[in-house]
Amino acid sequence: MSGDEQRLAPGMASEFLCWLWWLTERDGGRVSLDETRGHECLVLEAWVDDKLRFCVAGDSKVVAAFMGESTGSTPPARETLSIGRSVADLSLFLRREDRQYVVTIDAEHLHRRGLKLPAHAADGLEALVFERMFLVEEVDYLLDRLFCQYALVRTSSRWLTVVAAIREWAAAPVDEVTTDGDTR
Amino acid sequence: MSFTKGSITYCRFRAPAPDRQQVEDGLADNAWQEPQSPVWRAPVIGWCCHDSMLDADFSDVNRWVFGQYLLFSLRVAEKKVPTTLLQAHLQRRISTWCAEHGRSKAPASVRAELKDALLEEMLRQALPSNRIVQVVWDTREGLIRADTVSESMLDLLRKHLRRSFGVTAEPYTPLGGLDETIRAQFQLLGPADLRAGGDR
Repeated sequence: MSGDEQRLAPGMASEFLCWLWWLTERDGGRVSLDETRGHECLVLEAWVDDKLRFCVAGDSKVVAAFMGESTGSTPPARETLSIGRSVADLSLFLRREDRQYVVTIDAEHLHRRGLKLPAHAADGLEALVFERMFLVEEVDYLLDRLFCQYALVRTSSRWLTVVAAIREWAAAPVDEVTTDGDTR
Repeated sequence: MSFTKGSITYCRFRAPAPDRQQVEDGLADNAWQEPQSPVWRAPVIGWCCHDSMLDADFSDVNRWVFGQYLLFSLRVAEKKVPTTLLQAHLQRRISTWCAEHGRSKAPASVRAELKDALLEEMLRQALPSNRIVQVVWDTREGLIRADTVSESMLDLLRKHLRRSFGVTAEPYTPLGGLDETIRAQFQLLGPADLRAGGDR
């Protein structure tokens, strides 16, 4: 597949991050990845960690930044989305089984920044390389699976329901968030 | 901070790996070499070992081959002369030349000559800045991870990969994991209006 065939349209990576933020909030940080061809169903914990930044669509300059604990759950962050700002980048906490990761994902290229791996010990360089690459690949696998799930929803008729749910969630006071917009 | 230590900032490329011998030859032929002359400006680029920018000996495969993973680094060195400092020194030399020759203004050819000489002097004294990009090439998956997101460094990396191994490294996106039909549909889409009351 050529580079052109893999290129993301402008704004779609940001929309993915926004969907991911909404999904993790909606499901209380417990995200199910549907079974797809060659991949089993799996459940992981995921939520926006301590950084969430916004830009104006089409411009990478950050216009609003939220830092600190439970950033994704704060009404001002959702309000920023509801007035039409795009997610510029966010830090994501991921946990699969007993392995925890924190990584910042940018909405321009979905590059990973400052990926923190779980504690690991290895005897010798070769074991260290294998151990760390296993962990890096797991993060990539989980994020790619999440993206594929988003793309499947995005190209289905369910997307209209999801958009309505995201708008409602973004505009609602913190205690009135609904659980509509099932991605299944 | 890299693939072997600490937190990691990285991006991915699709790049089918050539056979081991080709990689070995490509690394050896395009390894880092110290510039012959102390006077140079343009970026000097070459492969070096993942654990030392001073070491570009790839003869021991155990140092850079770990099962399916090839681990090495790109070293990019550049000498820069601060423009303001160069201009200040140049102005002084032009004034000296004018005083020595009883002229109020130096001709363009003299100014150019003085500038070239000064630049050479300053480059000779300047210490190069060095940047390192660690690369992990997963030969089984045909995937390269590079520990930078700097566009300029990634551009140099892609060029050096092509020069060394004849491969074209394409930026990786997760679209490759989608069925062809879904991918085609997805790529026609633009971002939705998620504002409260959007699309009204």
